[in-house]
Amino acid sequence: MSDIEDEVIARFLARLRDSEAMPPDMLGQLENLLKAEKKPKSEDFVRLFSSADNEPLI
Amino acid sequence: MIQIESISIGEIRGVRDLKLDLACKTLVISGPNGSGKSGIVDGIEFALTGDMSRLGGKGTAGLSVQRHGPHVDRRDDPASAKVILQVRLIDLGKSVTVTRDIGNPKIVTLDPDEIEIRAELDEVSRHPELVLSRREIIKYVVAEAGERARHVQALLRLDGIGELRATIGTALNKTRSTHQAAKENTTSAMAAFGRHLDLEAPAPQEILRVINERRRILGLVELDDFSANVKLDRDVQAGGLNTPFNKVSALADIAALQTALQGIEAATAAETATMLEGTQALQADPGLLRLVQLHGLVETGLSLVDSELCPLCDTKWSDIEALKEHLSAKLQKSAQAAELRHRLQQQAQSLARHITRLTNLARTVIPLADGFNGGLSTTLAAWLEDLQAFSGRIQTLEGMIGEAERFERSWINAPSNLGDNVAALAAQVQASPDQTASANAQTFLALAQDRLDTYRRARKTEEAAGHAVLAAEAAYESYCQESEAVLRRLYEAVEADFTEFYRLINSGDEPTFKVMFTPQQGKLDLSVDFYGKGMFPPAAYHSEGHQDGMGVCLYLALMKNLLGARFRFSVLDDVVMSVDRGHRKQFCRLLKEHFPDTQFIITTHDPIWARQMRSAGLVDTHSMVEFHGWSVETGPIHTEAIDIWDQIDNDMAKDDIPLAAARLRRHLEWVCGELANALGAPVAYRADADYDLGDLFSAVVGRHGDLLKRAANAANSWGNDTAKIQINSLKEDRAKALAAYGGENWIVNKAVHYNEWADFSVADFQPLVGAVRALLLQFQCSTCKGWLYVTPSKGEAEALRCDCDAIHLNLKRKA
Repeated sequence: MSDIEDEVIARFLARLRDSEAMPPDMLGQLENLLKAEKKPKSEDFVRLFSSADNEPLI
Repeated sequence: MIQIESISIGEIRGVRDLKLDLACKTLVISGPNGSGKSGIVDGIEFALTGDMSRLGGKGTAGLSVQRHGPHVDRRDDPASAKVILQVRLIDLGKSVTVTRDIGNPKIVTLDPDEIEIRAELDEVSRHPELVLSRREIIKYVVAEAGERARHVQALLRLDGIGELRATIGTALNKTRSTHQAAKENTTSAMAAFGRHLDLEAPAPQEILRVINERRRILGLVELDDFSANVKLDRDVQAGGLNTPFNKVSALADIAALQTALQGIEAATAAETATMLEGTQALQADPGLLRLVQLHGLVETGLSLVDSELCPLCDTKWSDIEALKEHLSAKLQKSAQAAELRHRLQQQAQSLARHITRLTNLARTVIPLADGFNGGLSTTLAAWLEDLQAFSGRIQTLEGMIGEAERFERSWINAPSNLGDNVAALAAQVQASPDQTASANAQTFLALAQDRLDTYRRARKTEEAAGHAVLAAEAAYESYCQESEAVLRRLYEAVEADFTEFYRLINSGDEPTFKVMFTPQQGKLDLSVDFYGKGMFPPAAYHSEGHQDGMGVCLYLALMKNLLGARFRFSVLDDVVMSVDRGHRKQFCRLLKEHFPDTQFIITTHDPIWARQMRSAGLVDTHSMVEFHGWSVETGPIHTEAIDIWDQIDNDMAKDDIPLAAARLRRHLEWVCGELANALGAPVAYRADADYDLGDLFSAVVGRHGDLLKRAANAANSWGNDTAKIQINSLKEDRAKALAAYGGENWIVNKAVHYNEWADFSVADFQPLVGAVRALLLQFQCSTCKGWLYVTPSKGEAEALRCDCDAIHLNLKRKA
């Protein structure tokens, strides 16, 4: 991974953190996913984005 | 990053056995075409990467390193084709011997073999752009925007950014699709709940009214609040019923399924017709399907057409326009095909939603069928499985085509007599004994709670899917924004460096040149200033030579921004030929001033250019190699260039004065041409540019004297004592050198001098050589060894200087 790619990822995670658009746990998992040696697949992201725990509405 | 200490190449391409010591310094290799220069480049690239780009890529079909990398006489013995590099690892402060042979091109032997050394060399192997050939530089400049973006992003190692964006984008689409399906399930669950309650749009008060009617029958406490945790069947004695059966509700469910079955084909007629038509068209024309799949490839192929050879298959066409027309027609057809695919995918998604609704209805009936008609239950379950598999298959184009016949027949593929069997089930349920009011109320409340639970689960799933979409959207948008911001900044930096480099090389022609990148949706438009007349694509008005110059500048700007201070090594294979003669000195200055710590290995077939690189101080005499006399049997014969004065001394030692005289004259011819240009010496114009050496020499000597006088006058007018001392010293040295030569009068009879030289004895010629050498030193800086020149290069001279500024004399008097 190039320095520029590293920078994009760092800024991307910081932006998500600041926006609070993603729960902290999910953000932590996203960070781990992006730092893993193996390139993440779309299914990995789908699983990650779907991991939030929700309460029933009614 | 690395620098090369020495190279040893054996049996690679046109080289049989060659050893060069570089000592981590820039090396210039000159020699005519076919003298084996590129064999050095191939050898270095092979040792570092295990590959030779010359034997890969466009127009190299059928070539390979293993088969064509060894010398032609050693092609059956690839292990004998070997390169040994002695490499300096700058960051680690270590040296390593790198050995690789074509018998095992993927295996590199290191001595010493340490983890950190291997990691450093692995990184180098991932930078094939460190070896740049002339045919490659142009792709950065004149390529179509999409292609340029790919080349530049590949060079800057930014492929991963685009890949990650696409992966997150795909994940976003998948979460949206899942969310859509979850919404369908929620709608179905609510419909089932409402059908059971006999309410079209169940609102809390209406639900409570219907529920409390049954609770009153059972003498239960009425519910007054439809909260999130409300239990509609609270305190109901279920009577051991696992699956609550309520006759009225069962009949409503069966009726709903019957209605859906009767109406499903009409409701999906539009989708079915479109998909039938589309899949039949794709089946009838396999080329159309292929075009859908190859749309992107054809688009790329068209952008790469630059000759009569098809860039996709290497087929030769009658002319380039015919090939372009062929690909354009294909592209137009594939654009229509891509649009068809989009339309079919939309219909497939719509049909999938209908299937979800139908299967949800059928699922409510399966438990009923289980109680009355076990066969129907099994049939329904198998049918639903088939429908769901069908729904999944038609989401891809290939799957859709596989189902073409089903669209024509009946995509529902309902089991035989399904309608009759469901009607029979309805009759059976209808014929069953009516439930007592109490049993009806009990099962009504239990089933209501069951369906409310189902609805709540569906809502929860939908909600989670919605949250996933929000998270995916936030991630995708954030990634796009941040990656674009970083790329924009990077491109701005490259723009600035590119502009500076190009202006430096072309300062006489285009001092206001500027460049602009416009990154957009994976493309990278490049426009350049054309003499202040506006911004245009590089190929619009600039000559090919200028475009080549832009390619070199862009490459250097990209490497600077990619590697920064770690850009310590680069091979420029015949690349410098693209710099035209008037800008070569400035090109050397660019490399010296902006990349002083980078080791360049430069090949050129122009010996004059090679000497200019030396005279400009880019390399010294010991860093030049001349190739000549190549043959298949011997490979290149090379001479490590020696100083011209050493060569003349050698000639005199052999008593070969004619050769020494010829050498001295050729050297003087070249130096005088350079100095006349650098000092702005007034030379009578000749249309054939065939200038006489005497005219050049006298003009140069005269101009030099005039410049020193002007510098002395300027120093006096400014009261600059330091300059005065320096100028006096220069003038004294000049006077001594001229006196040693015999005074300036020699110029008058220069032709006689040159003709007479060949007849001189060693004793006569030796003082002459010493005098010429001493005279030429007057035009050279003793510190940087570069030739003096005036600035600006056009218009009135304002300064006489050298590259290192040890000599920098103001020529303008105080006003």
